[in-house]
Amino acid sequence: MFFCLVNNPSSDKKRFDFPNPGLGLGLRSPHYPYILQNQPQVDWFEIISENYIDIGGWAAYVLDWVAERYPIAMHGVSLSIGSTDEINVTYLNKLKSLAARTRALWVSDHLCWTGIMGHNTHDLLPMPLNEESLKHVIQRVKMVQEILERPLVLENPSSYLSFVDDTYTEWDFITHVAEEADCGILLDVNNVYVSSVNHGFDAYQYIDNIPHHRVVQMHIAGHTHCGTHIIDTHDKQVTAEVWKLYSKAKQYCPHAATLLEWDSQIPDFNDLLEELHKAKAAEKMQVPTASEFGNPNAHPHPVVMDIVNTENITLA
Amino acid sequence: MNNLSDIQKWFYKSITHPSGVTHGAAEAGTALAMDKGNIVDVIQPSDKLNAADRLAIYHNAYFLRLYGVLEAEYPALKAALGEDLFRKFALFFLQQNPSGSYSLYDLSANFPGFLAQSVPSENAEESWPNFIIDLVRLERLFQESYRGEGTESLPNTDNPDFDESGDGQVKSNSLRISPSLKLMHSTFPVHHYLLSVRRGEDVPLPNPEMTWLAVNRLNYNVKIYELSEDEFLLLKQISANPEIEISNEAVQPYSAKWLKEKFLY
Repeated sequence: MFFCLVNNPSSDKKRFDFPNPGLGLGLRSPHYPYILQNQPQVDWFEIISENYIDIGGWAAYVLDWVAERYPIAMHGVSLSIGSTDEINVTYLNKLKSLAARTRALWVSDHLCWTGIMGHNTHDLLPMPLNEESLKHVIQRVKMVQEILERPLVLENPSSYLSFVDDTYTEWDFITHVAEEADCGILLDVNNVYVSSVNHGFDAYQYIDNIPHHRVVQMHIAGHTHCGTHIIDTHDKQVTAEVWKLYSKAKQYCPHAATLLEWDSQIPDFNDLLEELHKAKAAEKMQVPTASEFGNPNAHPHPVVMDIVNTENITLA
Repeated sequence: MNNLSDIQKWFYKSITHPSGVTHGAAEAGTALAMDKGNIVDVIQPSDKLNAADRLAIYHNAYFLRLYGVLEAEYPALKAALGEDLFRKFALFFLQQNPSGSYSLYDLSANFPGFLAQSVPSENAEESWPNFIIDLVRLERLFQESYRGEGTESLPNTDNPDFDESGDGQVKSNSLRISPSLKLMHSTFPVHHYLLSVRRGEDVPLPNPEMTWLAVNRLNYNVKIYELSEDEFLLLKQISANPEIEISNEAVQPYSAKWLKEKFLY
């Protein structure tokens, strides 16, 4: 099976044209003091783009400090590439400025929509997987790439429902988008697993059938089993099932960068690093052991806004 | 088959409807004149969840996520109102003020205004609503001061020139207000309450007391300053019109403090 994987035709194509910085972590405010004091050994950081647009203050200072010392990739949550609202050019120009300021390796967001009629739900809402959606997204990705003057990298989100009018599998849909709009893919392995359980498809079939040479980056994260479905919670360790899937994806996409997402109940920085470094074992097909975590009341996606620290306010 | 725009409007209205997805989908289907606007016409069930339950995952997440933002940004307000009342106000606010921004930081910009409008006019003179409104204003000002531009990264912040013009007037170009300086007047010492809550202390609501406050960020830390009425009014005057010329005599009692604390630069 291994030889089949490395001989997959798509593996021979030139990888989508980005560097591979290695193993990275999300830049989150609880870790700012540790990072500034210790300049820890981590290959790169991913930032939530919206947390650093329109801001000054401590977060902006830390961002500049980090950008001087580590490679940064930008990961957005409000592009709403699939929405039928007009594209927000002001927002895109701010993304572009932030990318220049941080010398971002790449700019990513999700293959989803987040709002309509001028509203933003701040959630990653699923696209109907049909011809109309496909054409719409492809045209929008091309437009965004023209404004950003760089390729967009799109992530497969977790989803909790599918549409009656779906005519594509998700892997076919993202493949068409990537190939026809000529963009990169951020393969979130945990999301593939979560969606595979929620929709009853084969996660390995998904991994087998995407254009591997376009995979720029992978995400790994923890999730929560609710009994009837799985929620992408980013609040715990990566499960063994996801590590297995990651092992296989890494065989297909050996040059893709890897990032551990952990956005709620965030542990100490060194605990995160320890979890991230399990990826090295997984890449050698030594799948780390981890438990499946259950919570029937879990809800999706942590809030991606960094909350201010109470220590930062005093009476003069 | 419904078009993508209608599907998205239907979906949005369904997951943001305060009474849940069944009501939301029914209303949306009618409003959009969709031939197939029932949940089962749009959403596939899974082996373990029916279509409405799957849609409800997004409905629950929508309110939980945005409520969580308000809860995190207004801990003192939540303490003052109590969890139940805070939740009612927060959820009503979210229904009336859906986010229109790419940033969650903008979500609650109108929360103080919303609460102010929620006070019935016959209760406008009562002290408790005024305390609540001033408290939420102060919490918002803290967020704005903390996240916005400040003097830390601005050039030439160490050389303001108050007294060297020689003509008894402060030069207008010397009166640069720090972008992180926020001013507010309250009939309550809301700052003591806010700071106590943030320290985790269980404190009673304070008695009325005229209070003039400045919120400013210095070296990335936000401080709250108690001002005299005169000092407050002078700063208000300067911040409203940076071109105004003010006598050195008026500024002199405060200039050392303003420079030290970077109210002006």
